[in-house]
Amino acid sequence: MIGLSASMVSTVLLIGSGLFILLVASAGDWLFLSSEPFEAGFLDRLNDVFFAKPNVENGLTGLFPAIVGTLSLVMVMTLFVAPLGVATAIYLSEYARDTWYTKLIRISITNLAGVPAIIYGIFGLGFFVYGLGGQVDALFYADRLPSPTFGTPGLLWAALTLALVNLPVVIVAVTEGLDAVPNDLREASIALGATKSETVFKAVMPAALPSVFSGLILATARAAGEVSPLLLVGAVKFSPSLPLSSRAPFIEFEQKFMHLGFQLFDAVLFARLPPGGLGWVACIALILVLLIGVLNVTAVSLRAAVLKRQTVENPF
Amino acid sequence: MANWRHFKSVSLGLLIRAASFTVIFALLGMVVQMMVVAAPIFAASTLERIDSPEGVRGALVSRAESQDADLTQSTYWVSKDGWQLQGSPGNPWLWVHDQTAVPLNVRELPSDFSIAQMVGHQRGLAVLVGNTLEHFHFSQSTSINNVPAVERVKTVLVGSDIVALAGHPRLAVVAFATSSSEIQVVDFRNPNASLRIQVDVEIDTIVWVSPSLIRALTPSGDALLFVFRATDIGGDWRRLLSPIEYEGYPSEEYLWLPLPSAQRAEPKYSVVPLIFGTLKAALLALLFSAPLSLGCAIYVGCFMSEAQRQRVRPAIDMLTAFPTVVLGAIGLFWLAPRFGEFLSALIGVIALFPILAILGVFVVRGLGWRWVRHDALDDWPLRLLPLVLLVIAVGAAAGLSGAARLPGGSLEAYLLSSGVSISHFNSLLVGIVLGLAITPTIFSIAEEAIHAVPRNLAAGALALGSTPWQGYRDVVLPLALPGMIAAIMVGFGRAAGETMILVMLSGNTGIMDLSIFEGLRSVSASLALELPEAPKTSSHYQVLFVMGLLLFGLTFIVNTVAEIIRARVRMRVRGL
Amino acid sequence: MTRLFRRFFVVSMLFSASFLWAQSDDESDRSLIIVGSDTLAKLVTAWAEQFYVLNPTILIEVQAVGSAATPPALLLGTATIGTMSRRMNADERDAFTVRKQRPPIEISLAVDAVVLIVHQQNPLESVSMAEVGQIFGMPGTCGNSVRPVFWRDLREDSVLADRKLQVFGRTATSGTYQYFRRAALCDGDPGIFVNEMPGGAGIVNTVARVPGGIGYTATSYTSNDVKILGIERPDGRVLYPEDPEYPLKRTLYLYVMTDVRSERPSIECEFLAYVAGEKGRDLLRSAGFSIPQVADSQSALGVADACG
Repeated sequence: MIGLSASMVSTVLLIGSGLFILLVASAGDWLFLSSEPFEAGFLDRLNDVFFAKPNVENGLTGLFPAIVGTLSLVMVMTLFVAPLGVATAIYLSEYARDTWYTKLIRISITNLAGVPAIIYGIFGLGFFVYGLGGQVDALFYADRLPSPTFGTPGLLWAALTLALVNLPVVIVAVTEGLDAVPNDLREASIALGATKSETVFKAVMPAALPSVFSGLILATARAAGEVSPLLLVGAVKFSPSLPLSSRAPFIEFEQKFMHLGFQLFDAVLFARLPPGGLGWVACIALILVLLIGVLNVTAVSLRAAVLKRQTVENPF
Repeated sequence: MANWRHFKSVSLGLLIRAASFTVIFALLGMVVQMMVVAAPIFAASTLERIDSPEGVRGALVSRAESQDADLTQSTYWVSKDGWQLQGSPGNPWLWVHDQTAVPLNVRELPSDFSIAQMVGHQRGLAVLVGNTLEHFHFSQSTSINNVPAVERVKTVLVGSDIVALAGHPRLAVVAFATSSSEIQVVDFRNPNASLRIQVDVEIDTIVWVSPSLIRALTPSGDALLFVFRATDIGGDWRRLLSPIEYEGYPSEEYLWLPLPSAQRAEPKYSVVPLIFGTLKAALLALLFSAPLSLGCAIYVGCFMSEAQRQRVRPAIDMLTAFPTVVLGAIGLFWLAPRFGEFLSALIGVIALFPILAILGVFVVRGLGWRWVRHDALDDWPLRLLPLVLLVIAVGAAAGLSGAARLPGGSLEAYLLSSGVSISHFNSLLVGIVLGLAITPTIFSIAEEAIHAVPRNLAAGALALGSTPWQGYRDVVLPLALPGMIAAIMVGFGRAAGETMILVMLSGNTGIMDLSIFEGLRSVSASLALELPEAPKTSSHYQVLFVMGLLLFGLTFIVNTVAEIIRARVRMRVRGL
Repeated sequence: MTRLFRRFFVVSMLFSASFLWAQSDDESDRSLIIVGSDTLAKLVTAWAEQFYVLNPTILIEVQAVGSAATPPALLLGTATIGTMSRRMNADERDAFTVRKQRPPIEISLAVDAVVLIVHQQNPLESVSMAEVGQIFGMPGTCGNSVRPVFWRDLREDSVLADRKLQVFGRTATSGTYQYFRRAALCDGDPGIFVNEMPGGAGIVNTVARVPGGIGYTATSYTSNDVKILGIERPDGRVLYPEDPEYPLKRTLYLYVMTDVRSERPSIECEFLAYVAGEKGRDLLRSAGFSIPQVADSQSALGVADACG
């Protein structure tokens, strides 16, 4: 039986790498070997795939806006989720005693983690887009009404929605990191006369910083692959102008954006793909998987580094 | 200085406390917002008199004029399918003619009916007999010689003399005026809640201008306007959950046909098929995922060293690097087109897989040489990799060649000859891909539960002479069982809420069929497909929010129960 | 640890800088947001791409989710141009009229047909409208009582005999679905057994792979991978989409939110002029549509000419 269960571990690892190889093979076959959609050389083709103008209906060119859209989305999301998630984690592991309130928060966190992403999408559409967005428009962009500026799906609301989706991920990871910090550190800090907040921010947090980052990166990895809320709150089929600007704050918060996951969804179900379409689909999927994979690996190695450091450096 | 530091500390503490509230706010906000949006669907219908608004009068009145023609109290109607129906007061028969006016079918109508009007997009007839209104509908499915049968659905007693009657253009609703100058609206779907308004002038004609506007005319030609507000379910929540005998259908059915922007047909909002589809998909996903992920969890949790565990857990978590939209695309482009072959290969692999248990023994006990060391359990998954690959390859090949040997030459042909046809988008495919998506979730939670059980318990068993497997099976796993059940529950919740895979692979057919070779339609997919385009104030939008609440409720219950179980297990294990 | 933090910070700054490099410096308030029918998506996106090349300073967004999205988007102003594969119904028109104090500007943009498609190897060549009702509708639609479950129920000699009919259609919010309901299903209920696909191209892709499949989609999505069925008339003639009398032909519409007739020359006008121009028409024809014969006030050219 041990052999059987060990084989299952192997099987899961095989499935994962099998899927990856499938994507790499299909994408590679299309990029390197087949010459149907393009006659030009390989570098030209790469250039077309990434930097040419997006050709949504036939696909095959211009992933750049979608990549930038995805990255801007996760970055804006991180801006929102970081303070909230870290503060909640600090509260849970440093401030709160075990009361009904913390129990409530803990149950809420596990529940938030279990709520389907599409439900967050509904909430984002109803609360952020129509609710908050409508208010913002009425207050600041009244001259443009009835055309809404923020009262319509856009980058900001998508980022806020994803921030809520990933809040539990960050909280759990950061709490884990804070709990791993040895108590001696806190006691020493208090004994030297530091206040509670000084203890938390100057003694405990630096020690837990890698897990904070690993939590945030995990959240961005999850956010990059989450598509279902975006169907409701902001991704579009075609928007070649990037959601960025040269003026502060450098990001067009109200703009709709293209997104890799949405692009994939669109390519699979909406586009009339020419020959080579399969490779194109694999290509988008591969970029998305690589993006998430790299983020995941970073997070995991950060966490591993923490564990190592704590076992080595902690003299107690 | 000390005060400032103290102040800083306290204010930061307050900020942190406030931030922690976000979590509860998010959860509560979600529930409240969905409830607020969904609640109007359950509102009772209302009828209200309005002054005709200046701006819209022209448009509305002109449309009403054009409808007057076919809304006179004639006794001769043409149904939408070309059947001519004829009946006249005093004549107890309703005649159904074909286009050449040859009577084909007669149904007994109540004698001495005085007024009759088409209702609900000409699917039915409201007939006034004395003081009762009777609702008939033309049922085509139970037709005789392809001529629609006419069946009585409901009888409603009305109090007073009716002078004018008009059928709703879309729903089984009639508006009528009585001789005592009262305007009434009766909903045949919910006849107890009739609405009435007393006016002070005599009314002799009444017309539905639009599904929500009634226009009544006095003999002198003045027009009165009434607004009839009704949700598409007429304020009756049972229409979401109970089987309904819809007009035109021979029996009670569960149907999800929202028919948005259809002006002259009745939308059907039974959530039952969607809930059925959601549960079916989630259970099938568990069927595939649970053995695999629990098997992994047992091995990693029981037999691996801490260092190795720290490496393998993230490796399995890497499956989450495949977002569900990618898994859906893989299912759609690579699995669905050759599902028959995939399925035969899969059956072969599943059939051969238990052999690994026996092969494993040989590998461990050795055939003169040892592949893995019995005490170095860490290495097994990696060392077994070639063996597993071999078994999978052999299993797949055996499955494929076995299928080729079946009468018909392939699994699909064989199933076809035995009367089973595999749909392109079928539940089994959904279950397999969805199962893959939830495997890391179940694994992670179950492994944690197993790992939390102190190892010295197993060590004690080993010391008493049991094999490692016996030790863990009889001592550790029983303790971890509740945690493993919790893991399965969380996985179930995840599967029930998963959207992209279902949108792409389930076929979105609202049928309730237990067959795993038929498609399904899930709540989440319906939300994703229909919500972005449903008008914000429509019943459709509100019903979708009701479904959102149901889905939320399902995952909430599952997750809370799972969390309680996990907390209990943690307490119990801590005591050991 | 601060070193790690600093490194992270530098990396993220580099990231942002690379974005800025990629970003063009044009700032423009002129935006064209097109929402609507999936049937027209291919054409509209092609137009938008070309138009973007001609006017690189504007902001263009194309959202193609379904015709039902158009009226609310125009009403709320989330779109400046809406496309629909059916006409606005009376309720939608009334809502717009009440809100804006004028009816919406409606342009008959293109004509296309809804075609029935089957797998290339399916021997079926044509169906009658009554059979279409049987195949795609709930039992009882159009007065037909029996639904063909297997191919032998439809054609006794079909080589697909025991295979089930796998029926593919569009989701309920699509204009094609609603058009098909009205034109082919006698305004009755579409079958719940129909596999609902969110995009027209998805139907073609799927039917091309499923031997027992049958579906409906707009002509512009069809390809050589599927076989287009003719429609039998009662007199025995078989009509194809090219025939003028083909029963499933429809006009596709474009709606403009702002009153382009009275306001100053707008980006919408430029877009309409482009659409009505030579290049726009070429794209329209090459996408498989034809140009409707309508009065000037209904055509893109007429409206563009009437611009302020």
